Amino acid sequence: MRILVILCALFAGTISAAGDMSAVMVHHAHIPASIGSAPTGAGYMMIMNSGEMDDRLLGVEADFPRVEVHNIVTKDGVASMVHQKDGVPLPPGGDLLLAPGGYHIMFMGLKSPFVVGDTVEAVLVFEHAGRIEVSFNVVERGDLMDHSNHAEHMEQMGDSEGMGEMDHSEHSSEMDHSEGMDHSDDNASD
Amino acid sequence: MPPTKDKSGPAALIAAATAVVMLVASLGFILLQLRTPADRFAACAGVRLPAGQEMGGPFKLTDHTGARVTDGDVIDRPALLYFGYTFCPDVCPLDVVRNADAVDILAEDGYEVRPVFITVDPARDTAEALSDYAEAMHPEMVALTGSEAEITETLAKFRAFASKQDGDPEYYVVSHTTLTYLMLPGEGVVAFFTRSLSAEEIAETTTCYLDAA
Repeated sequence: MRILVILCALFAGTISAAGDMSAVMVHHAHIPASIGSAPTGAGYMMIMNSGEMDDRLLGVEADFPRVEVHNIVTKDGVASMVHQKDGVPLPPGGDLLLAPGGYHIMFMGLKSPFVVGDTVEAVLVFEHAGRIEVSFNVVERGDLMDHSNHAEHMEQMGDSEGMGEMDHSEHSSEMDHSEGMDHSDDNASD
Repeated sequence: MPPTKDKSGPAALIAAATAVVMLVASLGFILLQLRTPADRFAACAGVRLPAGQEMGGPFKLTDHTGARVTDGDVIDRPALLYFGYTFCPDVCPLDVVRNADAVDILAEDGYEVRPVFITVDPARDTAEALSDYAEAMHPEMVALTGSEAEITETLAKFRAFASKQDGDPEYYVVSHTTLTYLMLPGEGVVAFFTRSLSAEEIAETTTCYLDAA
């Protein structure tokens, strides 16, 4: 039994689920650093449902005047943000990727900008998994534009439960976001 | 047969016909040049405007320092222009950062291009609100705002679209088109880029246009 408890603790990573162990895991919760004093910010993450039950991300709670789950919908060249009032489905054995250009947590009414190195605490509310606490790491904006590689990378990572706390500075530079981009020439584009 | 002064003579007719043909040809040539000014960019990628269509146009707006500026003031060099707003957490920051990165790549190759941002949300994006956004984005960036009417008019000229969504009076979001326009001084828009392109792709295509200009 103790071994089981230890194993569970090892696999929990940055997640703590109130009550029983949840089949839902959240990975790589991060927020790109603010641009100037922009009043909003976006949070991204990968959510995996290793359970056999359909679940749904209903919403998010955090210490901001307003924080919601949004999706970008583009129609006829017009990009719109759609508040996911009814939540977002999380099928059994499936995952939900919150990434630039798609689903994201929208933080509104920032009192101060998100600065690289900050952590932002929030609670994700799931229909069945319940409340899951998440710690967002604020990361360099850098080359966040192309996340298609990021998504592939996440899929390759697959069984990432054992990773625990992720050091995002290393993660960002390790990841090859480019098709041939030369990172040594990176300019700070702020 | 020697030419005669007789107007009804065949030589005179030939001369007249030749003159007419040459006149028509010259006019045709001029019209062709006017109708398809983008032909010199034929080898370049990017979405070019169909011949005869115009995009963009003169504007007079307020820049992020509070000064009133015209398109002539702002487009004093080639420019990558984007419509967005600072309350936008995902699409706009990505696109504007990408454009800023494209500008940096171009600068490395010796091309001076200005990133320009025009707000689609003048109610919240005052000059003051845009000021540190612009500075944080890129040292050469010019961010523009204006009255609701001025912004609406400018959007229409660029065939861009923005629509305030019903919602909270303070936290409303704005739907908008997300193209980046490549503009040349004195010429206006010569091409536009979608948001799926990378900074490298935009820099490469822009280089082609600047070399051909």
